[in-house]
Amino acid sequence: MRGMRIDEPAGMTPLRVVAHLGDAVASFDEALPLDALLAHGQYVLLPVAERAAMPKVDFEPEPADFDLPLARWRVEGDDGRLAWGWVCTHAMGIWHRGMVEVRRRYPYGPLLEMTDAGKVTPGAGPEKAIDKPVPTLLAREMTWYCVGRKDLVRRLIRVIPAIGKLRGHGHGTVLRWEVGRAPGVTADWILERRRLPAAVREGAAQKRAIRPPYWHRGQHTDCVEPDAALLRVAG
Amino acid sequence: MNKHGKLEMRVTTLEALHHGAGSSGNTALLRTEDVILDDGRRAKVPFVSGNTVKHMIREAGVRHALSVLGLDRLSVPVVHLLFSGGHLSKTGGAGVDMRRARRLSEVFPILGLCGFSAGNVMTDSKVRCSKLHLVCEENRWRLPADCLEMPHAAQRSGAYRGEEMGTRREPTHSAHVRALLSDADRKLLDDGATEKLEASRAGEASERGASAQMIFEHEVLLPGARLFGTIGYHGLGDMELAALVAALSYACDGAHPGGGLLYRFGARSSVGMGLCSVQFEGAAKRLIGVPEFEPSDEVLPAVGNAGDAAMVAYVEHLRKYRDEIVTTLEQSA
Repeated sequence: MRGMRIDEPAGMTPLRVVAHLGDAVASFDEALPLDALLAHGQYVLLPVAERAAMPKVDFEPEPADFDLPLARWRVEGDDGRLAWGWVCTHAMGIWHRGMVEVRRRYPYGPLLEMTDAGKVTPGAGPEKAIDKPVPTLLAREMTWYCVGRKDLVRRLIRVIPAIGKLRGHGHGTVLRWEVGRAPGVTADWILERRRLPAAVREGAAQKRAIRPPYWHRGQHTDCVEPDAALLRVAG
Repeated sequence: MNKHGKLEMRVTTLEALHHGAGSSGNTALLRTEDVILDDGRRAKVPFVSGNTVKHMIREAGVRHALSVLGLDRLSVPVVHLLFSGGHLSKTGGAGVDMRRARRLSEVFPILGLCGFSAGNVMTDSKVRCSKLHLVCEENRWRLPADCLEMPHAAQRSGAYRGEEMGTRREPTHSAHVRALLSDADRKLLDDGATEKLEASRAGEASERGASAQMIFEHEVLLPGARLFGTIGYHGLGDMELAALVAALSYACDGAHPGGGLLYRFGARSSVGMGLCSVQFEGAAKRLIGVPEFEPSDEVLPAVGNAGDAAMVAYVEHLRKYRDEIVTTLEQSA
């Protein structure tokens, strides 16, 4: 890929990671990149004291990066800034799209019992009673490819019991993780199946994050999404 | 020492269970989810949402703590914070008050356990409740090994679905109730009934004399159905684990002769539906106390294993920080 450099330390090999799912994954975004899951695994494995001492990342302008056991890509953007990320794909597979509604009940009982409240407004305001809709992806398995250290990738991924949103309500449960070698897969093949900076891919650019935490605005840069047809195939 | 683990749940419905989503006519429908079968087709299978289990823990844990603290009058924002998890109410522009959120989690562990939003801070839940899935053929691919051996695993989910019918009587049909009405209201009812009868004879509809009488139906999971699920917890301090145990003990309705603990899931539990026997497996299992229902006027069940040191410490903790809990809740909500 033009202008792109891959840092692939010794001992890293192409890997295939499969999540065997027990429940539909609730997510507004279908990308679900592997490095996001591994970063979460790294966070979970941190000693509790170290985790408690970390600054709350929401309010950091540029969040610190975990050192993941994956190869990195680097590219110099049109503005001269260096962009980098991890060599891994978005989630691949074939899934049915659906919707789950999460009910938020209004606590009429406790309000009657414990307060002197007169008029309440369950139909408006931040506490309003709603059935919150969240899109779901229904599949028996999702697959990712990456270049990394197999033992360390397996160690990080195994501590993740569920993926997507609403995990605390039983969505996106992973029954079993499978990590194996993927002979014949190259870093270029993998990078075609992930979001990349607009400097190295043609297409409609939009401000998106290129490495975890993906929801953080500090990670945003001009990016182009991969061709969906490359991702919607059985892993 | 922070604790991680999970409680496996094996659930047997002892009464019809209705966990609903929508209605058709006057039948309340069971909530179902799509699953992909081994041959690639999709099927709809009833389940109980993890949200239900999580809310049971939150509400029971909060009620237990409030009863220990002797608190029965609260402000509206505090009720929302305790029973619904609260909401973000301030922007982070003026800085994030992490200290208050951290302190609130420390002094009132049930909030730290279940997660909350207050001021400009949103904390994650440390407890993860799975859905309760039906042991049936459609779910075979995700059944735990012990459930695979159950004969239920060979039956389609339809074998465990049924309907419960009920009626609501028009109260004024009772002579005792009619005697309570004013003369004017009684005349109105009689006029309405006469008009309705005449309209009926003429083959016309009448809106007069609308009755509260109705027949209703609920789709249900039949008694004897089996479900499975887990309650996972991560990074719990001693007080938070005690809060989880207290919540599960407080929500418990007693012990089943078969060895399980009794809980109620789904709708219409006040008329006997949704009673289930839950067999727990996991490190925290031995800590869950069965309430003792004494033949006395004391309504609240005893909570937790009274002799358990962790539970005693938890109750002492709540009492010790009572004033600070009240102040911090009011400031945070």
